[in-house]
Amino acid sequence: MAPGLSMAQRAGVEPDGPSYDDLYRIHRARVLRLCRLLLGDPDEAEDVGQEVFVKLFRASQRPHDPHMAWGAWLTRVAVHACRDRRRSRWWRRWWTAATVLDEESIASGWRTPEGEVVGADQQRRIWRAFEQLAPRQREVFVLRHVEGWSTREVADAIGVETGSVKRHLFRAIRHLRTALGEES
Amino acid sequence: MIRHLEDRTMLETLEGRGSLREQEHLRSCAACAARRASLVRDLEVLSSVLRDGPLPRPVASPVAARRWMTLAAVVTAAAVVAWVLSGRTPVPEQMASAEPLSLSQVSDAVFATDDVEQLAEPVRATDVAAVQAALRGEWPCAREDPWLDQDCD
Repeated sequence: MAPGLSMAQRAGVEPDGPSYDDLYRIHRARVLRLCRLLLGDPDEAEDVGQEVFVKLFRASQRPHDPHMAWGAWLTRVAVHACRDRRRSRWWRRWWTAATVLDEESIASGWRTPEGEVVGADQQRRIWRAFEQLAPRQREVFVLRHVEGWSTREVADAIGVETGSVKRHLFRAIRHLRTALGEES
Repeated sequence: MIRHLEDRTMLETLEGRGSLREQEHLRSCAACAARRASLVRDLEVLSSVLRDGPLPRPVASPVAARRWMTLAAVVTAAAVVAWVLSGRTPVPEQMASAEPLSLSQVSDAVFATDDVEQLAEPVRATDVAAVQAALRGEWPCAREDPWLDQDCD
């Protein structure tokens, strides 16, 4: 086997597109976090993340557009994989729904990239409120405000009308803002 | 002049979809502008915490234990009900309509033995004597037991 070749190059992926290894390195943390946000359970998120990258590897082996937007593709695949997992493991969801956040694992004061310091109590309230969102509201909020997709892109990705996306988004934001405004 | 913008409309304006009239209101109304700024700030905080903030670890809560205890109680109750109901199962029709057995059939069944060696063993004379003596209300003198055979000559 030729040394220095990436896994995708060895598998015969288009040489002018990004290699599988590059995509894995660039997107792994983001996809795992997305799965964690959508599923809540770190172990399940890890499992689903592995599934997503197995699908990426298979897709990258097939002929494809060298300019393909793999980031968006990965996000869509991850959202659907999380939804499938949630449906197939309802019993586990029933169990993990009865989990609480480990208060000690939240930093006492965390500075956002915009420079704003978010206190531990505020972070706890945000995570608790986020955990309480309905699955669809979570998906919509994460895709729109964490991944930064447009309402139209979110609607296309999850297969609903833009009006439905707006409704879910509005309810999610109202719930999260209520939690944000609560006194400790 | 229009009324203050509703939250839903405010969100629409953030997406760049508000009407010209609503956009104009936002520029002229200090209260709505402040609400909009607050909404923008909240969304930034929410997005930042979820996207970049430290992820909290989930731990099992007492609610989880209560859920399992409830489930276990329901399953146990269901098992007890099933057991009780199975005890009340009506006699199958075949058994209910069977003819009554004769005394000899019952006797054969009760005293039947599967022990072939026992069947092959001849009946001892002392046993016969003991049975006959017992029928007469006496005790046989087999002279095998010094204590029991004290009255024998």
